[in-house]
Amino acid sequence: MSKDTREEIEISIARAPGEPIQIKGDLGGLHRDDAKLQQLLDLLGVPKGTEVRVSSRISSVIVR
Amino acid sequence: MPDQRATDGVRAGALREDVRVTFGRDGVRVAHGLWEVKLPADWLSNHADIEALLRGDSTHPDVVSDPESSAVIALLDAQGCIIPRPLTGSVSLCALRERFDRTRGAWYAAYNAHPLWDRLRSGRASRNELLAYLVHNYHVSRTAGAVAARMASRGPLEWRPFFAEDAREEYWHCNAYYFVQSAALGCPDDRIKAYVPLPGSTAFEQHTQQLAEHDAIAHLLVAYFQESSVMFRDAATEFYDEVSRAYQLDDFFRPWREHIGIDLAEQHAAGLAALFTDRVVDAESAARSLALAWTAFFFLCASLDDVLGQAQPGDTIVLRDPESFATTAVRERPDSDLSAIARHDLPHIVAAVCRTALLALGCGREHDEIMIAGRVHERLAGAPQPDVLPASPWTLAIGNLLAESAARPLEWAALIAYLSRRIDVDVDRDELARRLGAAPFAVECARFGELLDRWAASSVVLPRDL
Repeated sequence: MSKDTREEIEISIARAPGEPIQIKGDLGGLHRDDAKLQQLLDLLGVPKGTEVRVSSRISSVIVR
Repeated sequence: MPDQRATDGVRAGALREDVRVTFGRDGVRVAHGLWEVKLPADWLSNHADIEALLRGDSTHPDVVSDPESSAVIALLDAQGCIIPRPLTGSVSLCALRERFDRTRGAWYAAYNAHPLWDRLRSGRASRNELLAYLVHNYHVSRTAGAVAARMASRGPLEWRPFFAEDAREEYWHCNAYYFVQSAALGCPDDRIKAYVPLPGSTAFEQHTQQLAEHDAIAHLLVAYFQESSVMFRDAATEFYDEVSRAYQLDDFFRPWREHIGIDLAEQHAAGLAALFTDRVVDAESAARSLALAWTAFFFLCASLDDVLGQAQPGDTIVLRDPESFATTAVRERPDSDLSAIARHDLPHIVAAVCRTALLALGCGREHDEIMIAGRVHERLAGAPQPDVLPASPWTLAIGNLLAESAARPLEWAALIAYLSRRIDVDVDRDELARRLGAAPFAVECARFGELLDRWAASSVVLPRDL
């Protein structure tokens, strides 16, 4: 098993009907990657100076 | 525990009540789910429409948007801050998943905000809580293969091959990865296997089993929610390392970490996500599936509450052995102790008794099994069968437990006899006692009693804004 295996999950944010922005990749790493986050904000076109940070401390995956 | 009380006026497009908005000199912070968004103060001061939304004075369809306002709303929506429009008409499974994706972040955040996690990280949780947490995970893992098998045998035909393979992949994980084997914990294997599940674990297990039979889409949402949490692998690994250090557990969590690796390598979440196709379902059943998926999440959180309830002084270990339940006296409790929500749901409980009596009758082989189930059903046959979900998730748990026990009609009958001593339900208690004879089913009744206690005290209702 590769240590670098990552779950690829697609997220979709629609700025307006018919204008979805789809991001596919390692969503788990998104909140740890400032560059990716900034790219997302730029794609969305939010006002300059908008910041996003993860505010929850994750402890455990949910077993299945 | 998420407290999602129903309100009469759910306003689509408004900010959810539990979104935390803090106005400061340098900007406004919007915290919800996993993220916090900070909008610059100077921008907000020129966008009264967004400010009104954040202050709860308007809903976003009222907003006259410029492109940046529109982008901010999209961001808040992706964060799960905004109450979605009610589902109408037909809904594709793909659209349902997108809607669910906006919600699940808040569920992950609520689950991870539980006080248990910090207690475990710091070693403040007693050893008995630690054990209860580990066994709870083992029980959830034990459920996975069984529930997948039920989907494979009773779910939609087109999904059966997927879940048959899923069952083969999952059933042995409880043995290989989550069975609680550790010299540090000092519990023999047979006592771990026999550990009576916590009420929340029981409720989760039986809810997912019933979903596999009656609401495959809700099952899919729950399984997807569970599997998608592997995205937090790095954070979970850090947590396991901290707990190991706090309790000197050495390499105890190595199998847990390996299991996350398997979930990732086999792309379980992606496999489940692919089942959300363009197939359409009616909006009412889609909304019901979302509510039932939330119920599973609620039971997972309730399990964490139950783990806290296992606190013991020092290193004392008090296992939930079946023998200890067999000697517990049945606690009678009058109807008057019911919360307003439980009282509201009483017709659902009676309906569940009536409905599961038929299930028990259908499983009956012996004389008394058939007579008991038939009589109970006959007596309650005129009781209304509500066509809406109950208010309390615990009401669903009671119905699930009765349904799961119906395959063993005498056990089911013992539960009905027990129930009739807790609430006013129209059954012939004398006949039940006579036909049950010396079959006490004490452990089963005690487990049922734990769920009834939670149901009677119900204070949380199913959300209406998913």
